[in-house]
Amino acid sequence: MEEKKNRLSILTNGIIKENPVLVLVLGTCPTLAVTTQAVNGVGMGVAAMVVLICSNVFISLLKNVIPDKVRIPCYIVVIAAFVTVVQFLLKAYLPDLDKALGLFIPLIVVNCIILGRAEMFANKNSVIDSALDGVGMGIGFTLALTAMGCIRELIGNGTIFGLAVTAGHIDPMAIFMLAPGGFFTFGCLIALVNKLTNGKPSKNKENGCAGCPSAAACGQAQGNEGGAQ
Amino acid sequence: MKEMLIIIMGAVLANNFVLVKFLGICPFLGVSKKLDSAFGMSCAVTFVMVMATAATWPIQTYLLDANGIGYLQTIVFILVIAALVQLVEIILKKYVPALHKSLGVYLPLITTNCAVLGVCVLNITESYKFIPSLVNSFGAGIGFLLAMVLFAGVRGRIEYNDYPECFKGVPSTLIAASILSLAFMGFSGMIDGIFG
Amino acid sequence: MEKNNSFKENFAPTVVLVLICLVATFLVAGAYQVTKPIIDDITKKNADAARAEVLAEADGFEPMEIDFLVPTDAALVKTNTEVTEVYKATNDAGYVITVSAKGFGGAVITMVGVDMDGKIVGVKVTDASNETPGLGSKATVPDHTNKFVGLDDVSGVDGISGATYTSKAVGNGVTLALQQFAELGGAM
Repeated sequence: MEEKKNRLSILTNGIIKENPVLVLVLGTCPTLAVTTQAVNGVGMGVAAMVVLICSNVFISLLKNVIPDKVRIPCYIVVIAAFVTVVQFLLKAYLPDLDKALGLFIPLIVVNCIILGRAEMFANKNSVIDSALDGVGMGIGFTLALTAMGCIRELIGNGTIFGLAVTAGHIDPMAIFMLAPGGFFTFGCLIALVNKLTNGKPSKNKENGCAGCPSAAACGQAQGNEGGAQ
Repeated sequence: MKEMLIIIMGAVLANNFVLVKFLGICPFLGVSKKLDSAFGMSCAVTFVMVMATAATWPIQTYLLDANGIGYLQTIVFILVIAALVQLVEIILKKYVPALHKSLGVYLPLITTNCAVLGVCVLNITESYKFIPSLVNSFGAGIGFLLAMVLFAGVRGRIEYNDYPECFKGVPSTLIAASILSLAFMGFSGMIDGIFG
Repeated sequence: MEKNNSFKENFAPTVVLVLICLVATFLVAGAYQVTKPIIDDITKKNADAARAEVLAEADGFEPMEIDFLVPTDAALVKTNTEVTEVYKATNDAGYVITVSAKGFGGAVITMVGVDMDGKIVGVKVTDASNETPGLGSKATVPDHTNKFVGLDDVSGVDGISGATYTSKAVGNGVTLALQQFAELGGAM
């Protein structure tokens, strides 16, 4: 089962087929919280992608060294270290973005995407493949966030990336910049993706938790519930 | 006392962690289907939140800030939370097996729950003292519980209705959440008014 | 042989975990040492630039180490309004008082430039990142903050509908800044 995966397919996997946000439904908290403006969506996406690539590479490098028993705490420490470094870099070079993203930068540590890919991919594959997976997933994440951000900013404020598009002509629906708008946009976006994949509901049976390292416990929980769908 | 009430009401209603602050969405979407699992998960989360704050606040104040290494916050906090969850699971398994059986499956999930790390970090950025921090975390947990339980009811109803295929599953949940969030927006002016 | 195995099984994981923690800590500490000077520099530059904006006649500023005025008005206390910095212009053109007040999502930080007659010369909101973009932020842009210029109290400036909390935060901040100025007696 260890056939050499097509490098390109690893890359595009994260963008379309297994888009972490729209298909796997992981990393939903930042998706809802920072997409009030498109530029924040891009910023968060890129920051998370950097952490994802670095952590995937490191964990893949160390995959034969880290004992199975303590692998989760080890992954967490590695990810947390990279998140902290990214935090400093943002504060130093992009302070406005840092203020806009606020609490959600340290929360990248518990972003299910990063821990999930470490568990599902990086600790089983080579460094190059892991890096590519990081890039693919990161791009997918960024694209999804940007799409959400553009929609919410356009309908809620009449601008995209700060450039007035409908502002002044149509009154914006401010609700889209607030919490309810976030949920609504996200739901519609996933429905759209479902429709485009031939109307089949999200193929991920456990609502994205499969990527979580706690999948074993989650599977148990889902078993108790009789399935999340 | 009044300050505590304001903090709790704020955390539960006006600044509900799930519906307003967008923390804890993953379990919210995944586990809110049945009432008893929703309730169990929320209780576990509240417990971990309060314990985590009780552990991380003193560490931040007396260890990290005092030695000027406050920037290690992210690493230290998440390690503390992970260790705490492990510890709680072990203790429950050994001493209160019945509780462990009902809550235990949710405990590992809580480590990656952004609401727990979120509330710990928020207590620091809002510069709350120790007791208000604990109160805030407790309120956050109760808010989480409220949202989960309400939602379990909502989702149960949605189950039996007929709607387009592409909305089945997560999208319908999210749109229901948006309506619930809209309802909670009505609480935003309430706190100022109630306590004068 | 068995002792060796269990030693490896229990000891090794802990050692690896501790090693990784140490490496991570060193990495982070190193990054901190490198970026801290840059961060401090940028923060200071932005603050100086903002101060120059609100009190254009000043040719330099020096911080005043005084006990800041604690507000007593109910409205100010309710929004946790407080003075965080007071800078005096070195050429006696006036003061720049930085205030913080609670808006919709968090603290709104405003710099208020006051000349020696107690008239507002400039108002700049330097941090309203927790306010709602497009809604609350309407009360933080120059179009609104410039309404305060030339006044010596805030009653002449209305809040913006749809941005009630943020408008109040800005207004309360300016009110406290004026009160702080009065406390300083306009004296050098």
